[in-house]
Amino acid sequence: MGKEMKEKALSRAGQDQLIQGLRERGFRVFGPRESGGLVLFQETQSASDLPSRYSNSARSIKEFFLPAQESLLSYGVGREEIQTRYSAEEPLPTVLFGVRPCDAAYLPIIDKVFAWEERDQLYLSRREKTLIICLACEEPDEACFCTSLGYSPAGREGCDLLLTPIAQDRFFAEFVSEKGEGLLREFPHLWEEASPSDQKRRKEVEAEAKGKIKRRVEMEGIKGWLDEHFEDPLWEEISRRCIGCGACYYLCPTCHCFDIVDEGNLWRGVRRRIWDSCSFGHFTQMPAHQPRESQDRRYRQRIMHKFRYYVDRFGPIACVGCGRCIEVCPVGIDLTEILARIQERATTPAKG
Amino acid sequence: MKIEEIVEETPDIKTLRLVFLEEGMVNDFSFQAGQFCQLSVFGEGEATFCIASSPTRKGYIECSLKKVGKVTQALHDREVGDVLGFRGPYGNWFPLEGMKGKNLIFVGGGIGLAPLRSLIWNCLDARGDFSEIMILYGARSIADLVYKAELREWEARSDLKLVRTVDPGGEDGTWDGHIGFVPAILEKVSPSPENAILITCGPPIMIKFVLQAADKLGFSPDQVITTLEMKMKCGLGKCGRCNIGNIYVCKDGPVFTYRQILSLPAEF
Repeated sequence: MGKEMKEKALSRAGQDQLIQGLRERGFRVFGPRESGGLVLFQETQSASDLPSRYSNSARSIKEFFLPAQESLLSYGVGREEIQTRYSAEEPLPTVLFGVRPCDAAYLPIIDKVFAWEERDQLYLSRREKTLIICLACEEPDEACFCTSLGYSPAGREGCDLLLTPIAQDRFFAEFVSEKGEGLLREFPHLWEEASPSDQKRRKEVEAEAKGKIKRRVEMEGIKGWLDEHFEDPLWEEISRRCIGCGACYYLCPTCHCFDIVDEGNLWRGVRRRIWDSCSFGHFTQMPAHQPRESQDRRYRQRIMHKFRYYVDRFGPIACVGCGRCIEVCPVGIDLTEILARIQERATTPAKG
Repeated sequence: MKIEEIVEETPDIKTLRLVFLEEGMVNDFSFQAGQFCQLSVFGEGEATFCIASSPTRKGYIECSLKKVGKVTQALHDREVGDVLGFRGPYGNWFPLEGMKGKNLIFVGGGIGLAPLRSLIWNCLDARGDFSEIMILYGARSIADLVYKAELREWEARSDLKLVRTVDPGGEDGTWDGHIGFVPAILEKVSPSPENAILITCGPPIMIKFVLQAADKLGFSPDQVITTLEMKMKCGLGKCGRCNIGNIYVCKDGPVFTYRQILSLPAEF
C-alpha cells in the first residue's frame, strides 16, 4: 500500500482564491466556460467564470496535450543554405481547472503511447507542466457511460487534485498525486480539515451521480469476442450508416492518431502535426494499395484499436465512456449499442 | 542530405545516392539492412523509403523511389547537389546472424528488390558466411527491372544464381530470362527448403502468392521472411497509421517472419 491520500475541505471562496493564487504564481488557468451555447475550456479569471451546472465540456481536454495542429519545425531555403528551426518551446505552466474525471482518466491511458520507447517530448512536456484539477461530475449526461468502463463521476484517475461538491459552499478535496499535494503546501491557509461527515457526504454525492448514469454496457466477453472475430458480418452491419466524417475522432479524448504535413512552398513554410482519423480513407491509402478499402474496415479498426489492440499493447481499454462520440455522430451511431451487440454475441452460445 | 548521384532505373523509378552534409554524421550514422527512413522535400512533405544500399558500403545511403504521388514526384524533380530532409534509420532489420551458414533465396518483384538489395550486398560483402545464394527477381516488363547493371554483375558471378523473369507480355525478342509471374517461377525453380531461408519483398499481391508457393515447396513459416508496407508518418510508434492489429509496422517491423504474419489480422 502507498501512503494514505491526503483529504481536506475547501470553501467556495477558497476555490476562487486557489484560482487567483495559481494565476499569481504564473500558471495559465483554463476552465470550462459557456460561450455560444457550448461549454469549452477557456482562460479562466475567477471561479465565477465556471458554469453553475453543466455535464461536461463539448470538447475533451486532449487539445491541451495534442493540439489539433501544431508546428514541428519551420524552414527557409536560401540560395546558399537551408535553415530549419524546431518549433518546440518550453510549455507554460498550465492548470486545467474543473476537468471531469472521465476526461482526466484518459491521460494515464494515452501517456503510454506517447512515452514508450521514443518519448514524445511535445506531449510529455505539456503533461509535466500541466496540473489537472478535477471537479466531480454531479450531472452526468444522457450519453455518459463511464461506470461501464470502471470509471466514476468522482473517479481519481489522472487527477492531481479532485474536488467534489459536498454542499452549497463546500468541496471535498483529495490530493491524488505528488503535484496535487504540492497545492496543499503552496496554499496552506486554503484547506480546512475534512470531517467524517464530509467524507460520508463525498461518498453519497458520488453514489447519487452514479445513479444518474442510465447507460450500462457489460464489458465482460467483449475483448474475447474481438480477439476471435476480425472477420464477421457484424462489422458491415454496424458501420453501414457511418459516413466517415471523423467527428467521433475529433471529440474522443483517447483518439490520438496524427498526420505530418508541410504547409508552405519550396522556399519557406512549416511542417505541422495535425489530427488525423482512421475513419478517413486516406489514412491508410498508399499509391497502389489500400488495406482498409471500405468504411466497415475503417470502423472495425476504430473499435478494435480501442477495445482489443490497445489493451494487448498497452494494457487499458482506450475508452473512458465520456459519451461524446454518441452525442456528436450525425447518423446516430451509438458506441454503447455496438458494444452491447458485441456483448450479446460474446455471451450467446453459437447456434447449430 | 545531399544528392550525390541519380540513377534512372526505369521510366518511373530513380535511385538517389545521398551523403550527409554534416561531416560527423558520416561516421556516426549506422543502420542495418531492412531499416527505412523518411525523406522530405520542404513544402511537399515526407515519405517513407527503405534504405536500398548495404550497411557495408559506408559514407552514403541509397534509396530507390517510384514516382507515384506528390512527394515522390518532388523527389524525382530534384537534381544532383540538391538537399533533402532525412530522418532515420527506423524499424527493425533482417536477422543476419540467423542467416549465417544457410542457403539464401531472395525473391523480389518490381521495386521490392530495393530492401533485398541492401541485404544481398550485405551478404555478398561477407560471402563466406553464407552457403548458396539464389536471387529470383521479376518485374512487369524488361523496362521495369531495376538495378540493371547489378543484375548483369550478379548474372556474371559464379557464387550466386540469378533467375530473372518478366510478366507475360513484358518480354521482347531479346529476352533470355523466364516469362511468368514471380510466384509461378519460384515453384518452377523449386529451391529446396533444406537449411534455407527465403526472403521476399514486392507488391502485396506478389508477396501473398510467394508465401503460398513457399509453403507448397515445404518452407516452414519460420524460414520465410518478408517486409510489410503500410503508410507511415512518424516512424516512432505514435501516429497510429501503420498499425496492423496491435503491432506498429514502424517499430515491430517492417521485417517479419511468415509465422509472425500468420498471427496478425489480415489487413495489409
